[in-house]
Amino acid sequence: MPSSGIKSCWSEATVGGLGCKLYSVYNPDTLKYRNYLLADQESKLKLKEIFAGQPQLAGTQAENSAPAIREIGTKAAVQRQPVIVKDSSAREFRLFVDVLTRLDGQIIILGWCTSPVMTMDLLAGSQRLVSTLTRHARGDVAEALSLPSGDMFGFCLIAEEASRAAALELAVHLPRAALFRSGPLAEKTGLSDAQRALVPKLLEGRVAALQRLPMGSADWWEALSDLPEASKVPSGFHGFVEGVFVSPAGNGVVFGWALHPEEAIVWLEDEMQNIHPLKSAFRRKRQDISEAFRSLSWCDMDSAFIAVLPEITHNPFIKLRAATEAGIVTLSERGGAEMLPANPRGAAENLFAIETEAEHYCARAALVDWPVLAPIIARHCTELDAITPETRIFGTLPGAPEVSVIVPLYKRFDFMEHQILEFIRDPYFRERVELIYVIDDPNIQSATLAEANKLFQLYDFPFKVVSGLQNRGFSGANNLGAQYASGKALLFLNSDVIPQGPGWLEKMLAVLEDETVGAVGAQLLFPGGGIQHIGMDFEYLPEFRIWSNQHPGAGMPARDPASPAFDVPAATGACLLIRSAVFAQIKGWDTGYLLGDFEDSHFCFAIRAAGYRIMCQPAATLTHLERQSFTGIGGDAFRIRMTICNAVRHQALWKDYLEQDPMISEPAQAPQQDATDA
Amino acid sequence: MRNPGHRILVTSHGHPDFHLGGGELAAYNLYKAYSAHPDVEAAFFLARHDRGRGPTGAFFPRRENEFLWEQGVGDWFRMKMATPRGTTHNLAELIRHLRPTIVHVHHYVHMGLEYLHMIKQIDPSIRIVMTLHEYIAICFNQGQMVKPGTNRLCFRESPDDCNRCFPQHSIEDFWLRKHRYQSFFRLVDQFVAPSDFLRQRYIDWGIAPERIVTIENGQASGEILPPRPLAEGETRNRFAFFGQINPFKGVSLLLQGLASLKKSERRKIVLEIHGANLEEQTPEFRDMIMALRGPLEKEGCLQWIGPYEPFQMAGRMAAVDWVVIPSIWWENSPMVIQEAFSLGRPLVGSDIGGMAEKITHGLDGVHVPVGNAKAWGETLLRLSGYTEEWDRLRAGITKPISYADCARAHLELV
Repeated sequence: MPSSGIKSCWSEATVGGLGCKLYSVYNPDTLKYRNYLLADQESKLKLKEIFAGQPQLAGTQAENSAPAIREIGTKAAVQRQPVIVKDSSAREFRLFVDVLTRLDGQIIILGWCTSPVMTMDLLAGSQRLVSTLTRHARGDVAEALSLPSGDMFGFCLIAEEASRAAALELAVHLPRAALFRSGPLAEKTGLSDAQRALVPKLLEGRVAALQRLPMGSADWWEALSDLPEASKVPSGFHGFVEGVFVSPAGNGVVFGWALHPEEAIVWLEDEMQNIHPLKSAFRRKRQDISEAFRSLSWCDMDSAFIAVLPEITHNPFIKLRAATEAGIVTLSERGGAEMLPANPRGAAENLFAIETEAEHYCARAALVDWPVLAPIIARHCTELDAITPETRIFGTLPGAPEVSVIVPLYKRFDFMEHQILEFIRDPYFRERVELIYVIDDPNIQSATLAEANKLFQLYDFPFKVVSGLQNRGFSGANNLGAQYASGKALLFLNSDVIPQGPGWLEKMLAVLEDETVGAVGAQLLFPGGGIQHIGMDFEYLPEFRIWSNQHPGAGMPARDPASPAFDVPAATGACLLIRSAVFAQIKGWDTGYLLGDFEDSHFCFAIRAAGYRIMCQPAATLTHLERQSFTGIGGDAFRIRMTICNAVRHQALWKDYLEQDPMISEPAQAPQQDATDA
Repeated sequence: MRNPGHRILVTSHGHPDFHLGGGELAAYNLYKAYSAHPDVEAAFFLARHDRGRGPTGAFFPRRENEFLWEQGVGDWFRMKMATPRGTTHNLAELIRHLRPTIVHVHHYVHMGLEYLHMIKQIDPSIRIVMTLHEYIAICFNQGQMVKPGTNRLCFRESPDDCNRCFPQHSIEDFWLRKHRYQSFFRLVDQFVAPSDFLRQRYIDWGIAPERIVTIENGQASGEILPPRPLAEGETRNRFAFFGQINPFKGVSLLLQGLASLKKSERRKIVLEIHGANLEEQTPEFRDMIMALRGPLEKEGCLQWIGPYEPFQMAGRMAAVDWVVIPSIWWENSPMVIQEAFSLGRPLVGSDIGGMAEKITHGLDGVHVPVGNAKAWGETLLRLSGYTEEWDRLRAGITKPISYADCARAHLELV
């Protein structure tokens, strides 16, 4: 049988031939009617067949979650069932009081009346209390009584609290009818969520109190529990969860937009009721949202959000929720998620596709991209470390080499021959150098090995080929090559860097004889002859809020090879000589960047942090067939976003060098604090 | 017994038994002259040949001391050998077997640049002499130094310039192409240019001046032909073109030039075309030539004679007064100029490059502004008008060097 929560049986009907009755039952706590079938045992079995899977129709189930609200006093008639009042022309009005309670120093009465022009006073004994009456729609009442559903049958009366000694009584004025007095009303100790939502004034203070509490704290949760669940979203609140990404590393990204008063409490909530305030999400303005809600005074707020959820299930159910003065509302909800690829590039492609203007990307990278990408990159590196590379040795390499030259190969391997054509005419290479090619691209693996074999057959120049079997990127490939290197020094050389003649490596080594020097870079020229690299500098780009790698003097005539080596803030990894001991000391190349970028400047700063200088040797001049020649940053959208992300990581780690190194040019515009703190 | 003399291997991109190109003939004639030279212990001829079954890399004897090599080029942009083993094994074996002291390279096309390295790897003491026949190392447009499409003359290479002619190849690709050529050319001990013009173009490209000399191709030391006998009232009005018919050779300029004259003027001129390989050209080019040719042949001022064998050259030249060379590319040292001079026929040629160098205007021939069809018509008309000019220019001809002279000049270098 329906539980005690049910206050009023409103109607009953016989369901054809089954010997059971359909009851429409009104529950004043939820302010809802529900249909129940009451049946004898035999009919129940039949009904189960008919209504399989619809348990609320199976008869005896209790109304769920009856609120723990106590009743004080004896109910007046109008609280037990609707009272019918007739006017002078015998027209009937129905009147019902759902609840009377005291909350926050106020007396609140909720009920309904079929007269739209009814007024009422609240009497405490003989005293008339100051009160306000508001009306609201009661679709359930309209439906049950077959009345127009748009009418405001509901009422809410709020009065200042009076002494509890005097009994409270309603005096109701109905048109052309005698004054109706309810008699002493019974009180309740609280309101259900649905009832609270009908008393906006009551919730104002609660919402304000909630705003003052740290979101997600125990107090906050407690304050939140005082707010009712509202079924209707109040005006001015809009939002949509556009998508959810789940990272294989365990966290996730929820993105969409939410438009709400600036101070409103809005959060994302998962199916485990973990909450993530939108305040801590990355926000930005969205023009389309602003346009769509022009009439709202907060239409120009930063409506778009991208939030990182530290933990998320593989099939989450995400709600976008807000605490409003009508109660707690769900603005949007979304079940399921898209799994981010486990490889960093794929994951980044998915993430980067969430729109953000370049000037805001720096802030976003710190809040969104790195928290997601960093663990993916770390996992990826761990996976790569578990792969056993294949090595092949062509010819007899020099024993105890002075230098191991490590050349990663990615996409192209035709440069190998051009390098070897130069190495074979350099006696130093024949005698003292161990040449190591690292195939960093599974797509060229077999073709490269075939080419290596041809090159060895033709030129008889010995070298080692390390096949990584997977793409590791510049840092990972260099580290892999270094694992197989036995030279006292390591030269990291891009495959598209071609020497111009013999002798250059010895000139770089000469600079390394100074113990204070950790690494030496070369002068690299474009194929047309202008400078491509003669030491790296850094430039602050205010439009992106990042420090970008710069190649000073790019395109200028080549530096006189007779000019002495000089200190530089950093040097390109395209051709960089380092003592093996220093390499070990700094633990090699950092693999934490996305795909590539900034790895060489990170490498150089790490060398400098270990106490060594970086120098550039103009006497070592090589040609670099570098095709990426953007000044500043450039390329497609993916590349720009990748560069910003990497720059954000780079400047977080090397802030001191970037901002205080006297060798680095003064930024044209000082970095703002928020940019580098990221 | 002679002192151990030179053992010279001459290499060529083709054997004149199968392909009568200027380069092939020059290489073969020089090989023959080397063989006959007393300082030469042995001379060998190696020609790349396509036997219709692809580049197997194998060698075959053609006749005593002559070999055919089934090599090919797999990447024309980089001039890479098609069959590595053909070079790293077959050629290596041949070099070890022949033990040359000198390899005189007449070409690398169809064989790949790598064989230069292989020679030095087997024996660094082998001296490599290379004769350059056109501008292939400098220019990807078939070595013509003429802009593709427009046929505008090209005055310099650079990765940026070349990329504009071939946008499908990047600036870096052109840099790599040059790097490759220069890396292999570094192995050459002595370059030979048949013309000063070509020599200068290669110096501009990067060969040190001291590494490249000019030696003209040798010619058969035959007798000079008597002048064509003239009938009463006849003038020196017979002109002949000898050579390939392709867009660079300028035959269409001659035809257009004739067409631009009045019919009465044309009647005074006879032009003979002894041309080869028109059938290998594009349909557009063939159609253009055929359209120009028809009406002129009908009138009788044009005689389309067709290809010839080297032994026929003298006979054909005997029947004409002038030899014309209207090329729109620079040329190097066109064989037909030396042949015409050896046989005593003045030249009418474009005023650029190897033609301007080899023909001295007003001394042994006449220059015509390059690419100017009307000027060609007017020049032929003018020269056909009288005989004195012809006599004077014929008298101004210096006899070209012989094969033996050419071989001697080369041996003086090594």
